[in-house]
Amino acid sequence: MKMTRRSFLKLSAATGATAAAMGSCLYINPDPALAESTSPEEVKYTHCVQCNHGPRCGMKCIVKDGKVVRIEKRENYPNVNICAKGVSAVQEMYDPQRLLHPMKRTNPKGEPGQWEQITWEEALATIAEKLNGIKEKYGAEKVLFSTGDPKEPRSAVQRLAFTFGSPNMGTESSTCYKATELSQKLIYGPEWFTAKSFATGTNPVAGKTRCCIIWGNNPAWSGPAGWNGLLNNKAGGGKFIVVDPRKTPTAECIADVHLQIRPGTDGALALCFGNAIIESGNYDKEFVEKWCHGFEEYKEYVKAFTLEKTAEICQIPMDKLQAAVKLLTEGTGPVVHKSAAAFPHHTNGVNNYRAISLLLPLTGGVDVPGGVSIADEPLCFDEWQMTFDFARSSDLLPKLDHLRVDRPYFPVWADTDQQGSVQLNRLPEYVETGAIRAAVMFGQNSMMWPQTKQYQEAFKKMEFCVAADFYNNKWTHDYVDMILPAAMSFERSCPITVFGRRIFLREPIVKPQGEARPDYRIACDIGVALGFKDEFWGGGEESEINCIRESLRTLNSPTPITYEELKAAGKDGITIPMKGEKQTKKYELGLLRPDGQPGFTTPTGKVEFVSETLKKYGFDGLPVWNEPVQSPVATPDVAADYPLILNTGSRVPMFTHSKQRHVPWLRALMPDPIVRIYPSDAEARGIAQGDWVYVSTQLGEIKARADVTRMVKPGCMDMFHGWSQANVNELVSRDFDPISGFPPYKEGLCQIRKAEA
Amino acid sequence: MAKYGMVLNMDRCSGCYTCVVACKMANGTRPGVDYNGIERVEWGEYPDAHVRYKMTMCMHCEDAACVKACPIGATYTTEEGVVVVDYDKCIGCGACVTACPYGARHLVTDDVHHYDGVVLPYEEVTTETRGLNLVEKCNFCIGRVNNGEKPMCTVHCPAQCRVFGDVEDPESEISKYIAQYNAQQVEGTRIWVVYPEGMPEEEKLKTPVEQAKSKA
Repeated sequence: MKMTRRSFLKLSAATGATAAAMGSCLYINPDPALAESTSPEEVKYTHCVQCNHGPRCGMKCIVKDGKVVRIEKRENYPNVNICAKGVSAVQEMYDPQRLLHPMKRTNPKGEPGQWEQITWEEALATIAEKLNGIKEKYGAEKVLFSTGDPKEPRSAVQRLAFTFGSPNMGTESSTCYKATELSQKLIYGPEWFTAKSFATGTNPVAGKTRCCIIWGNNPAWSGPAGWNGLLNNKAGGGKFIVVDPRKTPTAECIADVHLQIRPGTDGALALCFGNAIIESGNYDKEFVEKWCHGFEEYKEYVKAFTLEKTAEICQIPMDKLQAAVKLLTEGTGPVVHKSAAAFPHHTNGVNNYRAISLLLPLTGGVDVPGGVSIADEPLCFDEWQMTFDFARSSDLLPKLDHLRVDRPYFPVWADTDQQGSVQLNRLPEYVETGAIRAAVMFGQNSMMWPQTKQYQEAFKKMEFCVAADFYNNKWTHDYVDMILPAAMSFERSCPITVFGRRIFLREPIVKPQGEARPDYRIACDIGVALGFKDEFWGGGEESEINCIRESLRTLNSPTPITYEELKAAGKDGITIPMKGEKQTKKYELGLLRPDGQPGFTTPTGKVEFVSETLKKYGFDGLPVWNEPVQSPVATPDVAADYPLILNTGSRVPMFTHSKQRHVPWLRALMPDPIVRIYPSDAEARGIAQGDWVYVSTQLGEIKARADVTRMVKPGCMDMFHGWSQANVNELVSRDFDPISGFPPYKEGLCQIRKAEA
Repeated sequence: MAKYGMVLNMDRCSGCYTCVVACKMANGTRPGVDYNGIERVEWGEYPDAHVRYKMTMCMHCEDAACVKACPIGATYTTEEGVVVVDYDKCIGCGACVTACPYGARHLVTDDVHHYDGVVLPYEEVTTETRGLNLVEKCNFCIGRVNNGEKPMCTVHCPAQCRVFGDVEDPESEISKYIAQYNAQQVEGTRIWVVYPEGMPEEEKLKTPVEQAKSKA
């Protein structure tokens, strides 16, 4: 029953047995008789996936009558801080607009969807008939399997794709993290655990690290789980340079020096830093001499990036550039950096990221304290925390590799990918040429791509396209044949929750709403329907448990761990011990190469300042800097009409990508799409705070509200993505970085003008 | 007797709104009713511009205008210094709303929910237990505090820039925090603050007296 209203005050004198039994409700009825008749609160533990970039922040959920009513802080857990999006899960989980039943469309694709509810049996039978038909007629590789948000189903969807016979499984990381990882593979070799260790950088260690450069990254908003640690690191003596065109909270709270760089010129600045460090003599000559390839060529190349020239290219005041260089050339220890997906969102993205990443080996930071540590005795969990054997990327994928759809377009990506995720960004071309004819998508989103309409058309053109999701999102699902309801984080178990060597079982804490099913179960059910009953353990309700059992069975733990043991460990999890001791400089010990020899897995066995892999595919081996394809310098004629630099795809605190617009608490914090513009740029255009404006590039025009703010650099704008009514990715070109295939979300030219009303 | 207070460390605040949403969850506040808030504050010009965040909430005034304005004693100050509303007594006259210099009180009259016509599970144990036609505000989550827990905004702040506790106890978390960060009490209130360097004076939280003057 509902508690009657009011009167917490009567309780304030005595918080005895009644309050304790009731947990921590704010308004507690003081009448013990009523309290006893009220169902008790239970405490259950889970983690959050609202932001989806993997911190898996802990949640202690208060459950009443089988429903989550409150989220408290989960102690004794690796990530204990949740953010506004995480707290809002108590609204989203019970959102009346959630997709609760399988649906098939009754009108042509491309028109506003008309949907008919169907049974899971019908849905699975239709999927099997369509996919097996295409497999028989054209080959299994013509079916694309993909995941977007959440990332959690990746391993199950790989197992499904590879078992079916298609290597063509791709993820939203085609525009997100993967290019940072690719950059590291070009420096340290394709071996995944090494590349992953370096990919997004690390925090400084006071006394051991010279300086940390936070580059194009705003963890205050994009990674709240670690934000407090960064603040404490700063308070403990950490030195930070922040490079970001925007005046972010990270820059404000952390930076010793903040460089508001012209978007797209990051590579030039990094090369300038490299040159300054070499000229100062304060670099690790021994490491460079012994373990690096191409250093002399690099040293010659960076000489052109003098302070004067770089200040001009990057539009950075000279005094600030000098202050940054002072931090980088004085003091001892390695220069580390922290970055992420933002960095490679340029036409020269991978090389820009290589240029910054090379400052680490230059200053001797490879696998030493104060630098970046390479994983010790890595457990064989894959990118998304099930085992390679579970995902079958270890046994089936190599046999299917020659059927990859992306190799003709992005050979560097294809050649260095050991995980089994194809570059999806040429999807319109894959479909146009008949290389892809159907798709099974989990949380896939058309709006993640530049020129979104081309991807919507690709979905539409396919012979069959089915999507599992939490919601019926018109910008994607108006172009598919069938939608399947997926269970949310609180309602599912897979994959295993992994923090280094500490692993947890996340059990469902509430039942799925409606007919929603966990995505791992959906993958298993589809697998069974396709004819792979044994490979997917017969599907059904036990699917998630069977998937976890298979991953634990194939895990390289020194002592076997069973599902029952992991379940019994509950909220405390299990820490898997190492066989040996932690090691530094593992490249000296032969621990990084499959042949056991010292060195790295690059073609030369060394850290490559000049990439032999890039040279093999006809690219310059140096981390060259090139002007953006479109910029005030490269295309002054375009800049005459579109004078502002486009900057999109950054994070905001209240939404992740296109998600959570329907969550009332969060939407209230940003009701409309906004475009940020500097006060003087706004004034010159007659634009006031909150005015409706048009944002346009040569590719199109959208309408948003102006947020007049000093958060952006004069001459630049900043717009968050994922608004279906103002999709800024329609304004972004498909000028992909030829190495990674990444789109230039953070360069290009635009104009903003006041709208009539 | 404990004396409660709260620190707002604006030098660590990133404007992430977690405190705002955590409050809405804990208190089940209706659409448009927020007990606390975050405001962006800017000063200077590029390349020396600054963008910071200011936290706002009920200041729990020591000589509270709202308490004096209440005709029936429904709002009062506890011995611990917390300004509270007795929802059983409140008649929803709104006199305290007018009297509050900070705009921290909300007269709630409409039975509206975040999802139209739907009462969510968290609302059943918060919003629905309180009723309508009464004045709501931050009460330092006194129900939680009496139960040995902390105000929800301080629980979930990812940057530990909101700290609550007994300022009379030198061993309490808040007393140590105030000493570590040299937090300054806003005179006449239960709120201590830490400001980022350079934040303009006019943006800083005012004492009740100054705030009343600027409102008038």
